[in-house]
This record gives sequence, structure tokens and C-alpha cells, in this order.
Amino acid sequence: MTQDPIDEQVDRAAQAVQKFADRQKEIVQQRDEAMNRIVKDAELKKADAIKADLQNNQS
Amino acid sequence: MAFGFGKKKDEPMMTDLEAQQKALEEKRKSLEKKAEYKTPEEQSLGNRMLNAVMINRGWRQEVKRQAAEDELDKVSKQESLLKKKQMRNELFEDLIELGGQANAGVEEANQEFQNIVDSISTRNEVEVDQEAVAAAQQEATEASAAATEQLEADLHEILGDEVESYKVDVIDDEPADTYEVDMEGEVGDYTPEAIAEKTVEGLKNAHSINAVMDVIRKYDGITNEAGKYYSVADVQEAIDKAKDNPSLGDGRFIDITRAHGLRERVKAVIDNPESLEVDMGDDEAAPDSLDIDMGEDDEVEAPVLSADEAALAEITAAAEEAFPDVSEEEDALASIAATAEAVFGDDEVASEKSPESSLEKKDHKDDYLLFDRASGLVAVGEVPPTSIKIPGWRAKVDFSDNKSLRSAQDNQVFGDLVIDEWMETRKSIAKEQGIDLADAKVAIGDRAAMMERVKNRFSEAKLKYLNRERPEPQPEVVELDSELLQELPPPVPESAKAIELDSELLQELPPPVPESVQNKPAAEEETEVDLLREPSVSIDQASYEVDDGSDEEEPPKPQTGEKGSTEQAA
Repeated sequence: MTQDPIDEQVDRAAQAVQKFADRQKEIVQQRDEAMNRIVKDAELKKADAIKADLQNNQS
Repeated sequence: MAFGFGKKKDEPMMTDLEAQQKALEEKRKSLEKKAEYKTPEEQSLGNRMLNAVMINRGWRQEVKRQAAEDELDKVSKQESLLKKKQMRNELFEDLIELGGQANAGVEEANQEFQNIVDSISTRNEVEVDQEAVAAAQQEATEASAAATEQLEADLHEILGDEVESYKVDVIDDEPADTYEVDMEGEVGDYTPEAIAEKTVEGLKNAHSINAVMDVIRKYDGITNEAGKYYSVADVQEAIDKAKDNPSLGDGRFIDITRAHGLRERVKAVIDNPESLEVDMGDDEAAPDSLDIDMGEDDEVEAPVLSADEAALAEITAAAEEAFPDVSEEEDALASIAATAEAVFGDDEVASEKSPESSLEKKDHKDDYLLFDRASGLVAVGEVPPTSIKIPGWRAKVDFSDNKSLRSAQDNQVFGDLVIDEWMETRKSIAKEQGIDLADAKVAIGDRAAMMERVKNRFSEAKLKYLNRERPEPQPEVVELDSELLQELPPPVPESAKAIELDSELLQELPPPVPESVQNKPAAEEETEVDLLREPSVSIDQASYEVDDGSDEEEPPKPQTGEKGSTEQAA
């Protein structure tokens, strides 16, 4: 049975919006990962600094 | 005795009476003889003639009624389609708005991330690379904007040729029913489809002929759904003609209005000339063409004739498209009908053009009146076409029953319809035109059969037309919006919880342990495990909160146990 053209348009619109939602999730996830990486880098940088201080104190 | 005196004296008087009686008797016999059908074939022919004429009339009425019914169905379907399109456009607008909201959500999340990063930076006393943070935020913003644009592009692609009309709605940012007095904007900005769409919307809300003309002038004419273009002058001419004519004007105006579902409203206005400049609102008249006027005047069909003919032409076109050979049969039918009508007379047109005497015209008039009544009765299904109920007469007249006919004739129910002069007149016409009554008899039979076939074909075409697919509104799809909004995840910074420090590095670290690591809340660590399993989804907002110091005295977690062992090792 042939689908009504308007129904088909609405179905396709639903698919487009689903694709958009998936893309937004992906963007958010990538941004989260970037933020985590930045903060982690900062923490590691601080740990390195502490480690260096300790080593200097020991020596 | 036979030659007696007295008798001889009275003979003239007796002869006169006898002669009168004899003359009367002969006249009566003559009339009886003339009133009777000569042969069974002739009787059958007479019956079939009447039946053919009445079936023809009834069929024509039925065709008009069915055309009106189809027209009504078409208008309803058109209204349903427009409503569905409007719902679709609203849905698409909502989806575009949803995209914009999601985009704005990303911006808000960026700001929230900035706050979280700042708090972590403060709490853990670390220096975060703000440039990298800004770059990540910028990247997310741009990607989100691109996704939104892509969504809009996808939706426009889905709409295809209708995208312009949809864009019009979006640009104007107002519901379609507010186009009533919208005279702003540039015509050149829109495609012909968009103009037609806006014209339709404008016409729908026009409450007077002037308003209709304003809309049509604004868009420099109007194009109906069949693609036929009417200039402003065409429409104005049709309206002017309609104003001067109590009927509906010419077919163009009907065509114009029908194209946009306005037929009934405009018809109501035209029918009531006083309202031409005023109100076209809610006073929608029922289709007059559905009424079968049983009155006695000759103007029964005049007020709706053009409308019905226009609708009939449309239906006939559909029938011809479905059954191309119908037109051939109709042509043959017309030919046969012309032959039969030349002999028997049939309708008003023939009456007006016939070069018959005034007496003959009167006969025709009576015939037409009778046939009109009969066809009306047949059309509404009150009686089978072989008999009719004459107003004022006690019983139905059955054309297949000679006794019934004679009774009706004796009581002058038909006037002079079935008397011998009527038959003789037809015979003489047939003779003048060189038509054999036997041929006419065959022609009438063929005509009736052909009419039946055409009628069947018409019914098939009509059924096919009515059984077409019809759109059904499906508003459920709109619910997708809220679901999708819920699905969009909140910003989830894993780094907001803790940093998983390298265990080897920790083992190497001597006491004292840095406070920023020692005081890490247990709750944050638990969340960290969950987040590693399902990043970015369903994160407890509590994990975003900045450490307020209340957790400083909590017992150390297993990880800090490692730190303890590190202390021992040190």
C-alpha cells in the first residue's frame, strides 16, 4: 500500500530529528571528553610538580 | 307497419334523432378505436417511449445529484488535506525550534562547564589550560550550530517543492489563519506555489467580495488547483457578471471559487446580492444542487444550472479518463436521442426551437410539465420508472398497464398526452422527417440500453473516484518533540569528580599526601566508576557540586588505602 506523502514527510522528519539528536549527543560527549582531558592534564601537571618538589626535598 | 301513416309523418324527426344517435355512436366508436393501440407492438412502443423519456430525465437528475455529492466529497477531502498540511508545517516549525533549543542548550552547557572547570581548578589547586577549554567550547558550539543547520536543511529537503510555502510560515512566524489582512511583503519573494498557498489562506479568511479581490489583486491573479490561471480582470469580470445575475454567474467564477473550497460561501453571497459587499462569514448555504425542485414552473434548474454543469463536466472528465470509450457511447446516445426526440419531442430546448403551431406547443408544454413531475418523482426514488403518481390523481399511473392508462386518460389526468392526436402528431412528424416508427422503436430500445450502460460506467467511475486513498490526520507524531528533548543529555563532565592518579606515581609519593587528593569525596569516586562505564549519560547532578569541606573527615576509600601502603613503603 502506498504511503501518504505527508505521512512519509513526517516519518522522514522524525528520522532527521533523530539524527540531529544523535549528533548532539556525540557533540556533548566529545566536549565532555575534551574537558576531562584538560582537567586531567592539569592534575597530572600538578602531580608532576609535587613529585618534583618531593624529589628535590629528598635530595 | 313499416310504411304507416303516422310513421311517415314522424319520420323526419325520428330520422334526425336516429341520425344524431348514430352519429354519436359512430363518433364514440371512432374515438374508442383511435384511443386504442392498434397493435401490441404499438402499445409497447408507446410505453417504452414514455419510459425512455422519463429514465432520461431521472438519469440526468441523478447525474447532477451524484456530481454534487462528489463535489462535496472533494471539498471535504481538500479541507482535510489542507488541515493535515497545516499540522505538518506546525510540526516542522516545532522541530526547527527544537534544533534551536538544543543549540542554546549547548551554549548553556559550555558556560556550566566553565564553572565546573573553575571550581575544580580552585578546589584541586590546579591550573587548567583555559585556552584549551575555550577551544573545546568553541568546537562544541560550532558543531552544534552545524547540526542545527543540517537539521533545517534536511527538513527543507523533505518538504521539497513545498518548502517555500513552509518557509513563508516560518518567516512570518504566525499561524496560517492570521493572513486575513496581511498586505505586507513583496510578491517577488515567493514562488508561484507560495503565492497560491498564501492566496488560498487569504481567500479563506476574506469576508467580502472586496476582500477576495484585494487578495487576488495582491498576488496578481489566482491559479486554481488544476493549474489554470485567472487574471484579476478575469475574476473581476466573473464577479461583475455574478452581481448582475441572480444565478451563480458563469462557470469561471465557480471554477475559481471551487478551486479553493470557497464555492459554497461565495455561492451564498452571490445568491444574496445584498451581502455582496458585507459578510461572507458563517452563513454557508447547503448545496442547492442537492435539491430536486418539484414545482410547476419552468425555471426549476436555473439557479444552480451553471454550478451543476461545471461539477458535471468535472465528473464526466473523470469518468472519461477512467473509461475512454464512454464518450463514444455518449456520442451514439446523443445521436439516438436526437432521432427519438425529433419524433417524440423531449425537452424545453426542442420546444423552443420547434416550428410547431401554438396548439402543438401547448401540448408540448403539458408534456414537459408531466415529464418534469415524473422525472422528479423517479429521481427521488418514490416510484419505479414504469409508473408515476400524478398530483391530484388517486392512483399511480402504470405505463405498462393499458387499463391504467385508459383510466387516467378518461379522467384527463394527462390532459391530451396519450390521446390519439398526440400519437398522430408524432407519426406525422416522423413521416415529415422520413423516420420510420419501427426504427424509432429500435432506437428507443437501444437508447435505453445504452443509457443504462453509460450509467453503469459512470457509477463505476464514481466508485473508483470515491475509493481513492484519503489522508488521515496523524497528530501523534508531534509527541516526538518532548521525547527528543528528554533524550538530549545534560552536560556531563567526568573530570568534575576526580582524577584517577597513576598508582605507580602514588606509590612513589612520600607523605604528606596532598590535601587535594586526600580529601577526595567518596561519592565522587563511586560516580566516577559509573561514568567510566556509561560516559555522558544519567549523571547525578550532585557529582557536579563543589566540595564544601563536609567530607573532610570521612574514612579513606580503598584508593586511599593504597596511599596508606604507600606511606608504609615510604
